[in-house]
Amino acid sequence: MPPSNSFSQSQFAEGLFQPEALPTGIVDPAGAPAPKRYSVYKNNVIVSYIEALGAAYPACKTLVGEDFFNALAREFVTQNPPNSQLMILFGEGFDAFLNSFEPAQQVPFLPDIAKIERAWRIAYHSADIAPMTGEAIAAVPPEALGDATITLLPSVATISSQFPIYNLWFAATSGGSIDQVDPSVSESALVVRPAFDVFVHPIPHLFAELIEKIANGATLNEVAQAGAENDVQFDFAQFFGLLIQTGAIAEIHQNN
Amino acid sequence: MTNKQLDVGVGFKPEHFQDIMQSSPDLGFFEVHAENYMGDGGAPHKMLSALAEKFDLSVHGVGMSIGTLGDLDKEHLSRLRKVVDRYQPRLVSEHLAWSSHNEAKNLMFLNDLLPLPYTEETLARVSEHVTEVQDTLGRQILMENPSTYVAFSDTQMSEIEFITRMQANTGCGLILDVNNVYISANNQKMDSYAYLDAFPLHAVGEIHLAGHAEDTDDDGERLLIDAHDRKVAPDVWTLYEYVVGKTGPITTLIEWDNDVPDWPTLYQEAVDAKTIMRKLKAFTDAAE
Repeated sequence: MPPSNSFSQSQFAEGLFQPEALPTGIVDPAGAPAPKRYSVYKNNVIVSYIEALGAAYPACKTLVGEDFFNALAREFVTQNPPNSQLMILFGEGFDAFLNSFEPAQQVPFLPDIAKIERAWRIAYHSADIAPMTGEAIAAVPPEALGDATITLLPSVATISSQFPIYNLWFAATSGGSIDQVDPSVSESALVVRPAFDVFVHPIPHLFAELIEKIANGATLNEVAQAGAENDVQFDFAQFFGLLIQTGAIAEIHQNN
Repeated sequence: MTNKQLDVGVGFKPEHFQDIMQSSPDLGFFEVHAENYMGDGGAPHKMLSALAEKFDLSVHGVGMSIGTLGDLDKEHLSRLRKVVDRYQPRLVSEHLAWSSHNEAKNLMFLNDLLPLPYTEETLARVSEHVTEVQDTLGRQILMENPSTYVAFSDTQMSEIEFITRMQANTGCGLILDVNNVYISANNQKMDSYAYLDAFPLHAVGEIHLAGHAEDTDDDGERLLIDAHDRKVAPDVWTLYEYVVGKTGPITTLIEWDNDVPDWPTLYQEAVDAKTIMRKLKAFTDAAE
């Protein structure tokens, strides 16, 4: 054990999260204990976390206002400080936190907006893989499609909600008013980055479910069957067309 | 006069990308924070690749935690190597500071440049870590002098002695952050000119300049904060002029990371640095 007056990085680090803490050996230039000087680091660390979270969740911040967002953020970052140097990807688990943190419950759609923004952030930094072109997809023999499986772009994610999350997200990120959004509508969203811009598309709930099936390795026959079982009106061509148009398909694997 | 002699750069901010590409500013290089380019792909890499076609790059790490008393995070080191291998920057640099301390077990990233006491133990650890980074990257890195707000009762040597010995131990280069000198001199009640006179200027490969904020300490005395959120202060320009008087024209960076201004405002700071170098160079030339 080091002597009690010697510098400890773990003490220094732990003290940053305790309002009253002043680890031993931290002094001013004259050698006197320096709690206010040390608190500059406390403030720097917490504020940098809150700012990083605000940059990752701009729509959430707009929807609840800066003060409420910062209060939520302070609680989240205190419970979940970053475990990686990659602050560009900080904020994992914010939606789950919002679900469980009582003061956030007054904005019930907020966790699903956070899910869109998390997917957006991951898509923004995801690997550069070009979607399959319409020509390349058209060149796949139609009889091979049924047993084919699909690799989606690494940016692809779906979010399903009982709230109008696409329109709320769109209003918040485009300077619109959420008063125009019909609260009784439930929406699903597809996040995808076919080139360098991230897109969020409103999609039917069923399509979101089927995209998840594709991501989990289902064949297109299985997807078509699941679609028809869920909705007699289901139009596979429309569903497949959406995947092509949004640039969600990285590769089609012919399995026969 | 060539660019090399007046080698001034600024910290790259994505919001300036269009302005930079359209105006082709007369700058020697752009500096980026390594960690912002550790994602797999997307717009950040696209912009940096385009920038790298026109300008030299300087990769400035903010997360290696070279001052940790534990081990360096090997995963992070390999991420840095990937960035350096991909972009082949002219300069690679890091800080005399720490930001995480228990990498091997359960990393918690503190996202700040935290200070450490200057002791034989910390000097040995920092020197080992600088060497490890240089060996992994296969090149020299520059280490930056810190801005600090506290002192440590454990400290056994001056910051100058620590930096001088770290440099001698590792053969690293140095960044002399003149704003940090000004901040630390105020906060640690040192004389900034004496600090600059004692600094191992022969190893300095880059000067940093930035703006700072003002607060008060436990006794209500002026405490300066390294905020990077405004123009370089007049007193810091004066110190810079003093440094350039000693070194001659030298690679210089303007950092502005928070409350980022429009491009013309940031570019003007770089022009001001050039003006100081040009003036001193003209004076030196006339005297010869």
